[in-house]
Amino acid sequence: MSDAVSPAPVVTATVIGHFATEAGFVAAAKASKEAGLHGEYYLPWPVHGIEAALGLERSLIGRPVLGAIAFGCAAAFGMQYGLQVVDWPVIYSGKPYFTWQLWVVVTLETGLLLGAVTNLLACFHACRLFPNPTPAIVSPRHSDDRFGIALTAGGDRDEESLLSWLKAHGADAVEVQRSKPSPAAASVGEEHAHA
Amino acid sequence: MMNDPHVPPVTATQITDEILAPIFRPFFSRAAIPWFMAFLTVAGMAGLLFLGVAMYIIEGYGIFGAGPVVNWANDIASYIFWIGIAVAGTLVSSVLFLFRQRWRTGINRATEAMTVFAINIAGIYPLIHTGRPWVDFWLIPYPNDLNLFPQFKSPIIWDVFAITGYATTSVLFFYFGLIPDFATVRDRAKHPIQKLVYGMLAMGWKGTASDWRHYERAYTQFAWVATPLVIGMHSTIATLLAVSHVPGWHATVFPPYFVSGAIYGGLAMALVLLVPIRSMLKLQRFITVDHLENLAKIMLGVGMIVFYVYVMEFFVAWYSESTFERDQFMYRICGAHAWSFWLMVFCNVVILQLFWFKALRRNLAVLMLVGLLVNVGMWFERFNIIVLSLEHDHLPANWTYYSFTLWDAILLTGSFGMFFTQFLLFCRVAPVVSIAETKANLLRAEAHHE
Repeated sequence: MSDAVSPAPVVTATVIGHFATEAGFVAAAKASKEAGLHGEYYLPWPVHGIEAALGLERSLIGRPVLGAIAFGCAAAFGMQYGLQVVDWPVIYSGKPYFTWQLWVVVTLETGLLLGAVTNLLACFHACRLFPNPTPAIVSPRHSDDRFGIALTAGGDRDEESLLSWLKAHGADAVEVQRSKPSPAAASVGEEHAHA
Repeated sequence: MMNDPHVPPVTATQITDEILAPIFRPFFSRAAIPWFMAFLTVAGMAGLLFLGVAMYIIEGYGIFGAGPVVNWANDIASYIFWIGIAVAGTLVSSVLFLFRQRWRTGINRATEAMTVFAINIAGIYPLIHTGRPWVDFWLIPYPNDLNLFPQFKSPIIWDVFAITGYATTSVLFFYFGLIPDFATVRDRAKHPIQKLVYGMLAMGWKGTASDWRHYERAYTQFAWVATPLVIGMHSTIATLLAVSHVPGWHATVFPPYFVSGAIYGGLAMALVLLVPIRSMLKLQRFITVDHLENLAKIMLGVGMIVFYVYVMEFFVAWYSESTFERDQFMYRICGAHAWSFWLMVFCNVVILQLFWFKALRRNLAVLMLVGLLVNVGMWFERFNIIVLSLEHDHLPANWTYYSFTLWDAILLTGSFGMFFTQFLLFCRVAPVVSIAETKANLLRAEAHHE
């Protein structure tokens, strides 16, 4: 057994303010951005105006969806052309081999189907969604009746100043959550201690 | 606030409590007795579907009434009927969303579920109808033993793509809308299995501002994709009939006719589901009489379009000077199956006129009655189009009288049972009303009134 002083684990403190109303939440969120505070914002339902308040840019997931629709249409049209004109041309109901009018339905349906699937996957990717029964949520009420602003303490902002700031900006309730030190964080802390 | 019937005085927690009550309620509780009785009834009916399919696999297609002349009968009529039911769900969830109709919030989840369950019932029929369902995979672009691919110039293949695209998109859209609500259930659940299952379904949803930004964008895109898909799907089915030369089918009005008829029948089914379910699950606060009245108003508008098409079909048959077309429509009104035509007119046109009166549009018994009768009428509409045209085609030597067999009736009854069984089960495992959207609408409206 070593007689060295065991290092203090690194603990991250998160100061959370709970808001009951949309208006109070949006105003506080906007103020937090203007004050340069770092944190996360939780909403039980979508609130219009929060993107502008936080300076969030418009979601870009429309682009892959548009690309998928175009690719799906092109692939379906190409498949029909390849099969009916190149691979196995057959006179059917007296129609020429290349009858694009009759391929419109399959072309559009395939493009839209691919667009729908891409839309889902793009959103999952953008929101980091995957089958995870225990996500790190800060409060179960943030999917029910409370908006939340979770600010990370650090730098010139300690827990006390963040608590005061949230209260001053209309939080109905405030709390401090300290993360349990992860093995990685503990080892980092250890290295710092040794250094 | 109190002057606005759309804004019941509730808090966010009350909304969550009331919408989630059917999920967290014990399975065998006093409050669940009405649900349980309804479930036993429809589950018994659903058993008939398994019986019918089992008998079909053992005995073959001959157990049904369809034969060499009327080769499309109950299968295809019921298939188009169920596809039509599926159309209305997307109308409510997508089209009303794109038009920013906020009242849709109370009913969109239930109608989306209706879409998903109706489309999987519909899918059973063409698979049965092929006669050899074990080689149905030949319908997808997969080369058969002779290395031949499907014929893409055939509307049958268009239909396969249309249904596949629409069914997949409907399921994805339905599930996507549920994700934030599954997170609410996850955060409320006490039982570890419930926490695990709803946690998996919620996909780790946290509801951050950034998440909602992407989610709302994706939801709107789903609506944009689903709307042309639903119109395209039913237009494709209509085209499948219209490109043939069968009297009564060869009409350019078929695509809009089918789409409007599908919306009409689907909204009627929505009434049949929503009227009892709102009291069974005690959701009157969220699925209000105003919502049902709005559905009735849309039904009235779409139903009158359907009525107009009925009239135009006769006009065009007369105006075309085609002997076969004229004879077909004379056969419909005074032939051997005229009773089914007049029953359709009574259910779809006459009964609908009740909805001109506000008091009747707000009467739950009347809404339920009209919903049921329009469903009957819409099934007979498809029966008239499919069966009456085939049993009285160009060749008098072909003329026959189609009869429903016991197994046709068992299959049809079973399909209704399976549809309602799925819907009732859904009511106990997922929120029937969108929690997040309801809060966004009700609480924002309340804040604006204050």
